[in-house]
Amino acid sequence: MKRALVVVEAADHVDVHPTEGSKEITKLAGELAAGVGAELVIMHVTTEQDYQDRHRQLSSMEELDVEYDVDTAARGARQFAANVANEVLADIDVEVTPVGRLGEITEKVYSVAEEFECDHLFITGRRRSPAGKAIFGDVAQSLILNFEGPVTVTTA
Amino acid sequence: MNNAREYPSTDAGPFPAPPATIEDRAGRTVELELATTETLDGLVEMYDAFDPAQRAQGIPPSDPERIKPWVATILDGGVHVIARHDQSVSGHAMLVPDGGGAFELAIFVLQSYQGAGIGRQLLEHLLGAGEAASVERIWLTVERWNTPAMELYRSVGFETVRADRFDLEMAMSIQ
Repeated sequence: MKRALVVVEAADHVDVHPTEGSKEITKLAGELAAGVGAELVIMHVTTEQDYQDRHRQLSSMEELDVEYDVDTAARGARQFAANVANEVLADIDVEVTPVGRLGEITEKVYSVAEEFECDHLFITGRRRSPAGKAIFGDVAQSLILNFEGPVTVTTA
Repeated sequence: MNNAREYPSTDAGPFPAPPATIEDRAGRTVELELATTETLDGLVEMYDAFDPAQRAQGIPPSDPERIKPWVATILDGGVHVIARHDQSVSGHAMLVPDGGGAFELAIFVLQSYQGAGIGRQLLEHLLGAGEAASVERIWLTVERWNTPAMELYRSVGFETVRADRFDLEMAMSIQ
């Protein structure tokens, strides 16, 4: 592992609070990376749907005169990733690059992994069924099958 | 789980309802009965004794301390039938509400009671209890390697509805 990619998710639709699972996997990846002298790329993807919703809400508030465009959204996503890293990795000695993207999650994971030459992927992808069974979500399944390198998946 | 799941158009059943007394293939007299909150301790005991090698999809939890909270959570709703022999619980089958009007099925039989026909009886009586509780749609996921379980589910009326995921998804309709 030289440079690992960690995908963090928000517990809300406005990218304020990370999920507990995202914090846990960031910490896990940070500790592993620090142990082997690897770097981390922490990314967050804002979906097209969330972007559209926010854009609509903000444009309806004319008096605010805020500009919420594609660049603002990507910067916001990057800030979200940076916040998670700051919160969770404060005591861990590891080099971190926060990245934000807007669009479809699996597609963005592949492009960022390629751009930053990441060789290990960390995702939170297992959900619990009503009976408590650990089940892979569609995104996790697709990434596990197609990512060229080890994938670490934790239960959300 | 998403709600896009398809269910078989034909209803399976009817199924026998608990309570019932059966004799398994090893000659043991087994009671099949509805679980109550009082069954909690007996169930925890069974899951504590469950062979970790036979855990499927993360349940029962591997951490002993998480077994009781897990059992308490699932017992909180749905339909639960247990198999009892000599005062201890040897099997547990459940229909857990999924929040979308359908129920997830899961079944466990303690290792020393496996291969004696208890699983099928437990399953059929669970479906009978489900009918009595007005359950209509049931689904489950099963690991692809687990052919004996898939055969058992198929034999009582489950059909494979999704095969493009790691875990196979089966569903059935009753009533």
